[in-house]
Amino acid sequence: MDRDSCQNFSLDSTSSSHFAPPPVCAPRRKKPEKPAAEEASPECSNVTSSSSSSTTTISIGAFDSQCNLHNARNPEAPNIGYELNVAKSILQKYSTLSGDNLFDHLSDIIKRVIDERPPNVIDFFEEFSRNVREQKFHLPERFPPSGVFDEVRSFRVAKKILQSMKLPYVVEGEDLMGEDLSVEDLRTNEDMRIVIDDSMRYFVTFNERVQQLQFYWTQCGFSISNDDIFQLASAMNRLQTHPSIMQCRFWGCINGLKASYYIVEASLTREEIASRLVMMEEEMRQKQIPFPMRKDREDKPPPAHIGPELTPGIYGWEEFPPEELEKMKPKAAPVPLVEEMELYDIPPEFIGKGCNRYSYFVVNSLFDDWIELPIVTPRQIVVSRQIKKFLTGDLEADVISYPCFPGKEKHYLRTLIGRITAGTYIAPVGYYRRMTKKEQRMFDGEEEEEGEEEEEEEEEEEFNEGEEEQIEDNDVMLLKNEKYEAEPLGSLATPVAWVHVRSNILNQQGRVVWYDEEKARKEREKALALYLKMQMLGEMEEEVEEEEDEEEGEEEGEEEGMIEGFNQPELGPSILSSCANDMNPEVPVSWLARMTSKYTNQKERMLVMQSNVWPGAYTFIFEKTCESIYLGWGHKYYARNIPFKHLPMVQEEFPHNPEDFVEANDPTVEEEEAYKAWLLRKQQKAEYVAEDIEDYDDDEFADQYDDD
Amino acid sequence: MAMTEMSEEDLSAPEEEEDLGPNIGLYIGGRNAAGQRQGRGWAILPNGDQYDGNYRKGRRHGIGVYVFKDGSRYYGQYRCGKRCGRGIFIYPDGSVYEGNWRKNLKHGKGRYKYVNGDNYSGDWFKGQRHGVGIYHFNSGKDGCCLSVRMKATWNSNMRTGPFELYIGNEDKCTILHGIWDNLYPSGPAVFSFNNRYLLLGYFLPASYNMKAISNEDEMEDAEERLEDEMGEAEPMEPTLWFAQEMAVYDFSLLPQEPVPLAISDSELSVCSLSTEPSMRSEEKISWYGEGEEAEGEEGGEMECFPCECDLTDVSEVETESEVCKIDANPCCIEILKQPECPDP
Repeated sequence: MDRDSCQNFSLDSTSSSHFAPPPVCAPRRKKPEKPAAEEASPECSNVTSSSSSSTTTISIGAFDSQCNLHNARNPEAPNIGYELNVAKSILQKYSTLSGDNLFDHLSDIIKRVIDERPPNVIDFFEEFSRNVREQKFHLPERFPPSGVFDEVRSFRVAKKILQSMKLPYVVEGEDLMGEDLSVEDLRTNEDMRIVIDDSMRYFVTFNERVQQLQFYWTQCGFSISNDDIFQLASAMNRLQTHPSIMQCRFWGCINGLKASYYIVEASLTREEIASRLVMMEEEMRQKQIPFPMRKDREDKPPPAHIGPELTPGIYGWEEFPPEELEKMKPKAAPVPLVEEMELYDIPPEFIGKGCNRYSYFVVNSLFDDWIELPIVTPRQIVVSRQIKKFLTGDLEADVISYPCFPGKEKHYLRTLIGRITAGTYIAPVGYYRRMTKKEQRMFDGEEEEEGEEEEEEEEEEEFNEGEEEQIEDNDVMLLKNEKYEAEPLGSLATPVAWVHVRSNILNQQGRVVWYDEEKARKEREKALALYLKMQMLGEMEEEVEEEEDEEEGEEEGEEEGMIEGFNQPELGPSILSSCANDMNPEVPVSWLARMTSKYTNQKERMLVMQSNVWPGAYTFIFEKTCESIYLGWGHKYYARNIPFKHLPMVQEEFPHNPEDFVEANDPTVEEEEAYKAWLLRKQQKAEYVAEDIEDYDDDEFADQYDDD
Repeated sequence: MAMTEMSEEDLSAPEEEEDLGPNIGLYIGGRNAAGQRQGRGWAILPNGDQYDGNYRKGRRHGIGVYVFKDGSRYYGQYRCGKRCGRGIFIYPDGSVYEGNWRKNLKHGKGRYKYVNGDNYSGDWFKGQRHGVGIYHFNSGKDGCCLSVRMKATWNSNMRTGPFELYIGNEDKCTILHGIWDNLYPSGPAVFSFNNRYLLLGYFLPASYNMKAISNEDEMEDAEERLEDEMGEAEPMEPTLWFAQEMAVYDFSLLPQEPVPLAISDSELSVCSLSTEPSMRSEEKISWYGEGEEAEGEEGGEMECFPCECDLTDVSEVETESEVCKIDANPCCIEILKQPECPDP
């Protein structure tokens, strides 16, 4: 049996050598067809009968006969190609479990057998096949073709911080080439002329080297972390390079419930102040215009009143004959209305003067952009002195308080900064000095700009005639004294040796310079009078004038009482006044002086002045370096609680006597009859006197009938 | 023409045979059978006032508008010639009262709007603020931010007893509960914040003797400030607020709420209004001899109802026991038009 199978195999190979690839495939495909042929065709019986005689003869005969049949029926070329493709596609079907296909697997097996040539492969063929599959590497299809590196969350913050530092190479190159002075020269040259550069440098008094001051602050015991200091220096550098900023200084830090405020004090350049003053003056003029002038511009007279008709004779008398209605000619007086009280707030001080001499920039995170705070108004300062609130860290948050604060948190923050600066910015005696006249002119500007400055001075003079001394005393900018020599700390360890270097804010008005309200009122009245004259020229009736005159009189009467109390201007402590004079009923001692080291380090210790009125306000001095800083909550000291502001007085009714506003009684029937009798008597006399008046008598008779 | 000229002249005796005749004003409108003014009518009175409204038996009765010479006017209900019921009165300075009247006096519920924008809504009694009322302070330009309202017990135009001061808006509010003493609060008081937390303390007089020296300094400063604020020397010095303790909101810790004043039965009756009012009342009825005699003749026996009109319904007396909510409007005033009497 084995020999027969071997012979068959060799025969097949022999035929393949003759015909190349097609004969190799042919016998495989013929084998499954044999049983079908045997069952269907009559030749099967022949094969069966021949097999009984001899096996070799039968097999050869069947093969030959079948080959002949196929050759005769179909051509070899197209059949082989088609069948080959069909077989290949069948073998290349992928498995639903492993993803492989039989064709590839068999190719791999054949390749391995040919390469390795293991002996007796047929004996362990199945195992060999399993090994080939196991050793094959399977790469999952879901693996992404290209991975994307995702940024870490902290990378964004770091990128922002790096951007805030501004690290261009050109700047670094310049820094390496020259010194800081050269950089300053470049910056100043771009903005102004050489002469202005000198003047600007001359008036720079702020110490903007935060990292240098950090050393001193650390010695005193209050400080910001080193990382924040570096960020602060970078942030201030960004602010200082702005063209509108002349100089800036780190004012301090005020804590908030949600976020803290880093505050920088800056003084603006002359051009910036001039441009802002133009807009500010225009706005203030509009606010000071009296109401009648505004109302006419609006051209919208409000209705007298909303509600039922309050004039007799208008509603419900259409059916009556007009003759009778004409008799009731006198019309009722108009409905009395409440006179609109004109309340004018005290105008704020100009930018660059008084409370608004410096601008303040705040930021919550040191790598954010600086936000400038709005200017402060006297009303805001007055109200902020009556309330006490924590800041929230949001500049646009509402300030809910009693009395009501007129503004947002940014306005409240600005008032706090103004009050703290006025109260706690101090320096030793002689450290600062006033400007001389020459310096004042230089500070104000060149010859070309002197005219503008003179105009401003004239305006101030108009507001405060006879008070020039105070203006010179309080509302000035101080310069550092070049001749100042460091004094021993022992002599400075007392409030007497320190002075305030910022202007004091008056208690009643909330301004540095007294504002004469009476004078402003007179000016408004003059403007109103002129306006009325213009109206008269514009065909206005005299009645209107009379009414307005009455109103003016009433206003004057009302305001006189108020003005009497404010006739004398309030005098506050002048600038450069001693700190020893600071009196506060809440705190017996306003200032506390201490040294960083009392008995050791005689040459390296520093003096710290601490304010008890505003906890958190510190000023240190070391040789010639003196700076103030505020690190706190923005709360003034109160032993128990801020006093409660009581309610205003309750209004009373319109004053009148008991007999007033009691309606008169209508005439009775008897009175009317008496009147009619009197009329009759009068008519009789008329008839008796003359007959020419008969026409009138007829009219009178008609009246009688109408009355009935 | 003759009537017009004569109406403007002064009054004189009817018996005299002069050109000047009796001045009875002018009138157009309805009359009844007896010649009395009745129904809708428009009158110009001898003293220059005007009235346009309803009449009954020669008197003002029903809804009408009365205009005084100086421009002040009343629009509302009349009864037997007197302001009675609901009406609006506009005073010469522009202030307005809108509420209930009785015999020409403010009585019952009403709301008064003052010249400076303040408001009082609450109880009135014989022309004065009496009972529980809410006084709304005008905040001026900053009124949009918050409102200040005070609910207190008024006694003859003065605040006494427990009060509630409401400061805030819809989102956040602070209420001060305490006891009012003539001009300032005094005694224990409580601040409540958003109905969540309380701040208990005391309002003590300025001259309160305290042991600590620093407290005395504090008191002195507070006195100076408050006096400066007031601008006048008050007989009662403003009290000082001393905070003492913080607590979670607890209704039992709050002082008493304003309660209406107890009015005796005799005061509640209508009869008392016909008698002479007390001296403290600002508006008084001027009784003329003729008027009294006339009323006496017509209805001498019935003292409770001096008016002779045939009224079947008895006027209701306003109940004073209602406690007003601090946010609610206690006066829902509606001017109802009575049906007009048919023309004769």
